Order: sequence, then C-alpha cells, then structure tokens
Amino acid sequence: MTDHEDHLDRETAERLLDGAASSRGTGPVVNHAAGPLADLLASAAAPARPHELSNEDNAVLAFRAAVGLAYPRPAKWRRMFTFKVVAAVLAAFTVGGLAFASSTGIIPAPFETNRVPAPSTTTTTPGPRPTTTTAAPTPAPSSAITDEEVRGLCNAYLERPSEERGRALQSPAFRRLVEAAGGTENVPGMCAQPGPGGGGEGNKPDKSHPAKPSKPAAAEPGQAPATEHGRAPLTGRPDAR
Amino acid sequence: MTEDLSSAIEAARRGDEQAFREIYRAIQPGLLRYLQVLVGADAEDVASETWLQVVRDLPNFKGDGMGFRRWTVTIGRNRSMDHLRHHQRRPAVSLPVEAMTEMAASDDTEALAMQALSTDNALALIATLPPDQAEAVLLRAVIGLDAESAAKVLGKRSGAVRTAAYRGLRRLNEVLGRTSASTDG
Repeated sequence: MTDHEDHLDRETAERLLDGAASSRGTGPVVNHAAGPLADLLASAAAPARPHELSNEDNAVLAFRAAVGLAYPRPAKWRRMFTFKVVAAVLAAFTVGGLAFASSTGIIPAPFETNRVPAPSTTTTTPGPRPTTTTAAPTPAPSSAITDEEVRGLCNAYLERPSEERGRALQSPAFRRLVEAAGGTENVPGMCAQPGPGGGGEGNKPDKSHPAKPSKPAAAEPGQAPATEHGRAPLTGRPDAR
Repeated sequence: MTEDLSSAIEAARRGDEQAFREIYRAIQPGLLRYLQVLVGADAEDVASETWLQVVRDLPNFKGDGMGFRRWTVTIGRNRSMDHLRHHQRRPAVSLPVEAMTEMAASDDTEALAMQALSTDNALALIATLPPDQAEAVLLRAVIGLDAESAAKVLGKRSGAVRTAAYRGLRRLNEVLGRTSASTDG
C-alpha cells in the first residue's frame, strides 16, 4: 500500500542519499524500508554504461597534451623565472641604492675610502653651466640644450597658429626642439607639459643623480612578470560555441 | 562512501595516464548524468569542456578525492551555466524538454515510474523535481558528494541542501507510492 510514503524521515533520506552512490559498482542495495525509492536512486547511480565512457580516449589525449605542455616543468620554470626576476630587481635596487647613497655622501663610496664625505651645504653645489660664459657664435652641441632654451622654443612654437605648427617644425629654427623631443610627433606633447621641466628630461646632461633613472628601469621588469604570472591561470578559457 | 581517488589524483598530477583513466571512469558517468539534467542533450559537449579544464588545471589542484569530485562538478556546473547563458536558455532542470514531452500528465510520470527503473528513467524522474531539489539529489546520490561538498558546489548552506534533497526524496517517494497504490488497487 502507500504506507512507505508517510515514513520517509530525514534520517532515512540521508541514509538513502549516502547509500546510492556507494552502491555504484556493486549493484543496487535493496532497502526494504524504502524499497522503490532506494531502487530509483540506485538506478540513477548505476555503474557506467558504455556510451558514457565513449569519450574516454579523447579525455586521455587532452590529458597527454596537457602533461606534455604543462606538467610540471613550466610551473617550475615559471617559479624560477619569477624568482630570478625578483632577485635581479632586488640587486638593481641594492646597487642603485648604494650608488645613490654614496654619491650623496650618506655612506662613503666603497672604492674611494680616502675621500672625505662633505655635507651638501658646502661649495660642491654645481654652478652655472660653463657654456653660458663663452659667447659661441655657433649653436652649442645638441646635448647641451637647457630648460630655458626648450621653454623658449616651445613658446615660439605654441605662438604659431596651430595649422602652421607642423610646417614650422621642419624649419632649422626648431631643429633643436625636435631633437630634444625625440621627433616632431613628440613636440606638441613636450611643449604641453607645464612647469620648468617642460620636457627634454632625457636630453639633459645632468648626471648628478645616477640612481634616479635606474629606479623606474628596475621597477618595470619586476612588474611585468608578476602580472603575467598572476594572469596565467585565467587564460585560454575555451568558449562554448 | 564512494571510492577514494586520492592516490590516483596524486599519480595523475605526476602525469600517470592510467591513474587519469581511473579518475575519469569514476567521475564521468555521474558527471554526465548530472549535466544531462542541467543542459539536456548538450551534456556530452559540456562534459568534454569540463575535462579539458580539469586536465589543464590539475597541476594546481590541491585536495582529496571528495575535494576533486567537488572541484570537477563545480567546473561542470559553471560550464553548464555558461552554456545556457550563451544559448539563452533556462536550465534544463526546470524545463527538461525531453522529459516534459514524456511527462505532460502525472499519469505519464507514474507510467514512467512503473517501468523497470532504467538509469534514464530514474534521471528523468529526478529531473521533474524543482531545480534546487533535483540538483541536491543528484549531487548527493549520483555524484556521491556529502552534504557539505554539495553545498559548496551550489553556493548554499549545507542545511539548505539537506532540506532540498530531503524534500526531493519525499516527492519522488510520493510519485512512487502513488504508482504502487495504483498497481495494488
């Protein structure tokens, strides 16, 4: 009759749910307390039917390909790569930091032990450029372009009507500005920058702070592999058609 | 419980092909049946995509056999949801097209239950349950997850999953009871 439908308590249900999957491979376990339901679950969890494993070889091929591609060397290699980059960045920072510290007198330079570290307020401050004292009729070498010159040329450039600016840069008058910018296409950007450093930073001969350029150069390679490494597990998501 | 796959998983992580076959044979049937209820006829495609992702990410997997089942089924479930979204369909579990045509009336449901319960019939009956109940029953009884693992797959509390599975079984029991009553009477 229908008596079993009223007697399914939670405990029996839990037992049936646990029992169904464990009966797989050994055949349905007949449960007299809830016979038909146990049969139903046992059938749902019955051993594999042949067609259900028909793609096994394809899966194994995928496994083989993945093993050849990814296990376990690249993981190790990637780790080593990251480690090396970190080490290189650390080294660059350390060397740059030492050079900066010794050049500014914070610590004595390692190979010039007899040089007396001087406080920065003494006469060692760099004076005006020697080129200003000699009134040379010919233009100074292009590497000696000053902030003032850049600003002046930029002002002259910006005073031109915008439709004439492109042609103006072809004239010899703006040659040094173009050189300072590293190409005509960079001039508008450089002249648009506000402040006294208005561009031409790379062309300034001021080399008194060697640690300055080494800092960003060292930071970049440290970031690139980090992001690549972080993104790696997310790539190549095959799309459902 | 279900067979322990821990050592096979460890071997497969080292590239042991035979160990991978063992894992595949243990998991694929249940996975396929679960996906069948989720996406219907596209279950085989979704299962293939699931295994592609499994073999790709296996080196990064950490856990035991139960954890591996849970991981694999979670991938399969996510793939199914992607698939359904991509095809602008609702989960098959709420609209099992094949099952719906077979079971338009409750008489048909009972007829189905009366047949010698083949695996497909059993799955079709489970697929008539509300989605949360059907998934809970399948994850527990067919995949072989415990309540906690099933809850993690579904992103719910284990108590909620226990209740859903219990309600699902009660419903199935009612259908089967009605069937046996009609045969008795």
